[in-house]
Amino acid sequence: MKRRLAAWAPPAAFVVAVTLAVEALARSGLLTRHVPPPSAIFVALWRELANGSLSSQIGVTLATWAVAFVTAVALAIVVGLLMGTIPLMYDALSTLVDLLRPVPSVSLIPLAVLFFGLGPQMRLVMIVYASFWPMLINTLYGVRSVDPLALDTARNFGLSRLDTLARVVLPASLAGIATGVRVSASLALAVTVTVELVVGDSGIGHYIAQAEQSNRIAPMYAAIVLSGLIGWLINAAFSQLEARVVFWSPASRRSAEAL
Amino acid sequence: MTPQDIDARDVVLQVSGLQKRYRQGHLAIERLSFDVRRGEFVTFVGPSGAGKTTLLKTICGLLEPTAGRVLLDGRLVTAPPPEMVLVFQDYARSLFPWLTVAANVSFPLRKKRLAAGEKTVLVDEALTAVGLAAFAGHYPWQLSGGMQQRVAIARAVAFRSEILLLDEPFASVDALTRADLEDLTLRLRAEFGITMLLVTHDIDEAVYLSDRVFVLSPPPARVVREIAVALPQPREQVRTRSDPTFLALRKQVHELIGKLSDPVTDVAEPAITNERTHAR
Amino acid sequence: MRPRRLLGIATILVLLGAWEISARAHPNVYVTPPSQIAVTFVHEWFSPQFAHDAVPSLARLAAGFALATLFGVTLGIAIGVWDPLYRTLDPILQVLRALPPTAVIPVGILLLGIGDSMKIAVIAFGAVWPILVNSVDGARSVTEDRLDTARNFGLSRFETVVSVTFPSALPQIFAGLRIGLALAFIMIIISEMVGSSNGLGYAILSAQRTFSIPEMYAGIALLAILGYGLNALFSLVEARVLAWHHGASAVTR
Repeated sequence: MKRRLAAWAPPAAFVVAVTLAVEALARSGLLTRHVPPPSAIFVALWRELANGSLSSQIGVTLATWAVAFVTAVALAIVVGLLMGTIPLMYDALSTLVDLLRPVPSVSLIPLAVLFFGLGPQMRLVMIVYASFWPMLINTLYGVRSVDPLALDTARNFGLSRLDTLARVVLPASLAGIATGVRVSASLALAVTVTVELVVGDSGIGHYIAQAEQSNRIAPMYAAIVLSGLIGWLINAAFSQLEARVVFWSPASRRSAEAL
Repeated sequence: MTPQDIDARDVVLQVSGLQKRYRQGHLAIERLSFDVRRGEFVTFVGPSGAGKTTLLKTICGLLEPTAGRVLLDGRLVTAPPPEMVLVFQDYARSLFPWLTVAANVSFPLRKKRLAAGEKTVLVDEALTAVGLAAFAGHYPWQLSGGMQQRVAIARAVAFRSEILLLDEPFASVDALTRADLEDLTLRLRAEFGITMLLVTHDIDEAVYLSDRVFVLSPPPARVVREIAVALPQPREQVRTRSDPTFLALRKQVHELIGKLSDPVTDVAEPAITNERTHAR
Repeated sequence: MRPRRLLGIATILVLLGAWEISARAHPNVYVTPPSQIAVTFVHEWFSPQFAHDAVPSLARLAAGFALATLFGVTLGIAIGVWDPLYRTLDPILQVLRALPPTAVIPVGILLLGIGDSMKIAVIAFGAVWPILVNSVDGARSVTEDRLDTARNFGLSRFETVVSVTFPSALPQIFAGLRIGLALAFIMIIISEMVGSSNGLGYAILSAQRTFSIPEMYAGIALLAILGYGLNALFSLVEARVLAWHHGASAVTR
């Protein structure tokens, strides 16, 4: 407990010092009015959360994020296991994957709007598409790291293909899958906010864009701070989960971390 | 310089009352005192975990002693002095993989403010001395383990190090390479007059190479016995190792260490001879 | 060419063929057949349009990414080698890098307007976090033997950082740079979609809004090619700079 406190003291002191300095500068009028005093941001954060105008948008964002993220993870695990265990599938699809993966997903926003409009459906498609790739790559990485000896052993014991998949391949791929889940979770949130910001009609990203256009400066900053905190919580939660799953191989934590 | 030239009064290194306690309270070395003469080959032998690496790092100023002092030519050592160079057991981690062999050897020379030509001469000479002149343009990881350790030694030679501190430098190579490297250190001592301090858990190696052997106790390390090795020079792998004096000394050290590591109280370290197989 | 690679290319050709046939069989304004996209692509981008939209995008990207690299690597190494700085700033970095980077674009617009400086700033902001965090980790994972070697040979702290810590951290720095480059690309597209009068992001979004559908597809195709090309270029540079690292790890594996 004491050690935890000691670990948090320096960063907390730093944040407080910076906050106070910005506060003083902003109040003294040395900064533009586009940088409001932090106290005003906290007041706005509190007010907008309490009156529901920001909290409802958080709900929209998180719901979109959750649905899209779970869909992407499920899809990518299925495709990853198929590609990882059936050589023909791997040969047929890996070139396509190599070709599509470096393409920036956000360049497809206009196409998604064309087909699905500005509503939630378009956002879901975009987020699923974007967060599918790191999940797929990490799953593949996990599946292909399965020890061939383990597969031979399974065959030796007469396990069926499905049994081998469920009992040998899937557990052995868990490290890669857990990394993919963490990377995809963060990426999915970033894409959610991005799509809301650019073409959305609701959500925290839309709120930020609206606040900027209507010159409501403090609420805009409040929403940005909040999205940062949500991002941090999501990343922290999935890092914890990953650490639990891959406690035996710390090295795999940084494997194949690509966007 | 040949070993016969060693002057008993010409003490290059004076270690007195040296003690090192780690911050966690663990005592690694306890009140070590000894002198080393210029050009001498001195070996510390003891069970693994006896704080041998800590001893070398403290002598060359990489670690600060908690008590006692090290005098080099009468000057107190407080930071790594340029006269002493440590050769690590793990060559792969002390050589820089992004530099070629020649660049690794000339790496420390940038501190010496030499003309480019002088540097090249020093590097060439050192690489020739260790038999790697043909590999100057290679990268360390393209070489075998024994050759990599030669690079590390060449680096110290080019640096004109007067004292080499060898931390089990041959523990990670095969037996034949090991014999080659042992003879290389003897040759370098004769050729460049370098004083050698070796720590090892290999008793044969200690006796074969040294003028004096210090037997260390299990941790915290103390000197249990100082043994003068009265074997003729130059040493030669087959002849020296079959010399009756060699065999007698070897037996003496074995028995000493055997007594030190009591099999009942020291379960973790059952026998010194097993150590090699566990080492890597 | 190996048959496995051929199968992969065949898949892509089959997909393109199916797209072409279905688009021709059931004409739909939203679906442009690949052959027509190719024609539009040549017409659109092998023209002054390239200088008008693609060159500014790439120039902003280069400037922003260079800025992020400079800041991320120097600051990251400094944080990594100096423990008090690490203990103070690392938890803050963890929070800041979790911020969805595009959320700061409105701030950029407010403070810097919709010009090039805004775009360069937000690109740098978006790309800097993975570079920074990886540089910190890389600097902290230098083995003790390497640092001891430098100290043994009398190198000063600064010399050690430059000639031992920095090269040791390079493999991890490059991992961060790769992620940073992908983020920089996203930031340029989004910042041009939100506040710009030229650039590729602006071009494809306005093509969609004016229902110039083939032009939109051609723009997306150009972005895809650039994304792919930049990634390939990066791999090329990495392979050169880190040849020693790949060589060394191939041996120990």
